[in-house]
Amino acid sequence: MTNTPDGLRSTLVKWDEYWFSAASPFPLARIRILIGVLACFQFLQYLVSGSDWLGAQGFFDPETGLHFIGEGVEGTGSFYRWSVLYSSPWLASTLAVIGLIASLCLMLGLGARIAPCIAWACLCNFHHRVPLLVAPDDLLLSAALNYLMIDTGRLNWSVRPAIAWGEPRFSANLVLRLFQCHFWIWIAFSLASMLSFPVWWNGQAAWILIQDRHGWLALPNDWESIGLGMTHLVVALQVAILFCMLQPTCHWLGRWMLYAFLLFNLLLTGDWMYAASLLAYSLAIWPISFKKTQGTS
Amino acid sequence: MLLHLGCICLAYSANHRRSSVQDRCLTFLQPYLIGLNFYPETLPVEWIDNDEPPSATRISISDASGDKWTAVLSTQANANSQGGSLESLGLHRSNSRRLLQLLSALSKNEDEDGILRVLKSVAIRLNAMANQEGNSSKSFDRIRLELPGIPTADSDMEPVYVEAMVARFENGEMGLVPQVEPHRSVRSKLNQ
Repeated sequence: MTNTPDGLRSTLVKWDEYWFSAASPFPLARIRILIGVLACFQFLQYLVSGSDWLGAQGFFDPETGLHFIGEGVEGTGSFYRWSVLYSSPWLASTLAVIGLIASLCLMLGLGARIAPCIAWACLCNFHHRVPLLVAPDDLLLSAALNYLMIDTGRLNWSVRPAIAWGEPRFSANLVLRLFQCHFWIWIAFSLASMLSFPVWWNGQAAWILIQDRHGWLALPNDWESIGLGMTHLVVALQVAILFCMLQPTCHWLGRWMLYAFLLFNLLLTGDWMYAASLLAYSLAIWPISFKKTQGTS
Repeated sequence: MLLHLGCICLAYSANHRRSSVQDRCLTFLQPYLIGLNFYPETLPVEWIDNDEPPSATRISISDASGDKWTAVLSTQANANSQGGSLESLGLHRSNSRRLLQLLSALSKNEDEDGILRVLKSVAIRLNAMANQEGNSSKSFDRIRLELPGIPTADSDMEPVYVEAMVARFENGEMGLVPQVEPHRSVRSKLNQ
C-alpha cells in the first residue's frame, strides 16, 4: 500500500470502514422486530387462506402451479423451485404454523439464527409454489430473513436492550450495510421499472390506481389533475430518496422523503405490508432512536 | 457480498426486459437466484400493470343460459361480486390483482392454454366452496375472463372474453370445454 496513490488509498480505507467496521446492534434489533412482526402477519395470512389458494382444490392448484413454473422445460429453472406444497398441498397450514412460531421467536429475539432460517425456509416453500403471485413485500421479507441469518441483533424484544448486549460488532455492521445496499438497489430499480412505462411519464398511473380504488384514496372523477400531480411526485420522491441516501449534506431529508413516499404508496395501492417492509429496510439508513444515537450512514 | 449484490442488480434489472447476455447470466445463476428467491419472475416491483386501463379485468360466472354474469374476482374493488368474492378470501390483497394481471399477460401472449388452466383452477375452487356451503344457488355452468380490449381504428375499447363451459364428470372431476383442444375455446369480442 506504500506505493498506492492517496486517492485510491483513501477509497480503500473508506471501503474497509464501510463494510468491516463494528456497529451497534440496536438499529438491527429494531429491524428484526419489525421484520418479525411482518413475518407473523404473513404466516397468519397463509394460515387463514393458504389452503384456499394453494391446496389441492385451491384457486391456483398444484397442477396449474407446475405449468407456470415451466416444469420439464429447459432453461426455466423449475428444478430449483423446491416446495413441498406441490406434492403435499395439505402441508400448507402446518408450514404456516411453523413459520409463525419461528417469526414470533425472531420478533422476541429467541432462537438466535435458527429462527430466521426456519421462517425463511417456510416462506420459500410458499413463494416457490406460486412465484408469479409473489408480492413485492414478500420478496423484501424473504431477503430480510436471509440477512438476519448472519446476525439478528441478539437483543430481547424490548427496544431498550441491556447495555451489555449493545457492544458494537462487525456482523451487525455487515447486515446493516446489506440492508442499506439492498434498499438502495430496490428503490433504484423500482424507479427504473416505473419509468419504463408510459403511464408514469404521462401522469396516468396514480389516477388509474385511484380510479380502481386500489389504495386508501378516493377522489371525484373530475379531479384527474390531482392524480397527475401525484404520479410525478411519486417519481420525484424516489429520485430524491436515492440522492439523499448518497449525499451526507441532505441525508436527514431523505427520511421525510421516504415517509412521504410510503404515504403515497398507502394512498395509491393500500399495500401496507410493502410500506412496512420498506420502512424496516430504511431503519438501516435512518434508524429510529429513543435517545440520541450515532447514525449508520 | 459484492457478488451477491451484483446478482441482485442483475436480477432486478431483468425485471421486465433483458438482453441475451443478461439471460445467459441469469440462467447460469439460477441455482443461487432461485434458491434464495431472487429470480426476476418473482420481482413485481411495479405498482401497476402499465397496460392496464381503468376498466375492469374480471372473472365472472354464470348459469347455462349465460344471461346474468356475477363477478367473482375483479381489479376494481367496487365491482359487482354477489357470489363468492375472492377479494374477501384473498391470500394477500395484492394477490388477486396479481392473478388477474397474470391472466392479462397470458391473454396478450395468446396463451389460452394457460388462461384455461387458471380458469379451471378457479372453477374447481368455487365449486368446492359452493358444495361446502351446500348452496346450490352458487352453482354455475360457465366461467369467463373479461379483459379490457385494445382500441382499433374501427372501434373503441371492446372487452375481450375468454369463455368456457364447465363440465362436471361422473368421477367428480371438473373440466372446461373444450378441454382437449383449448385453442377452440370461445375467444370472442362481444358487444355489450
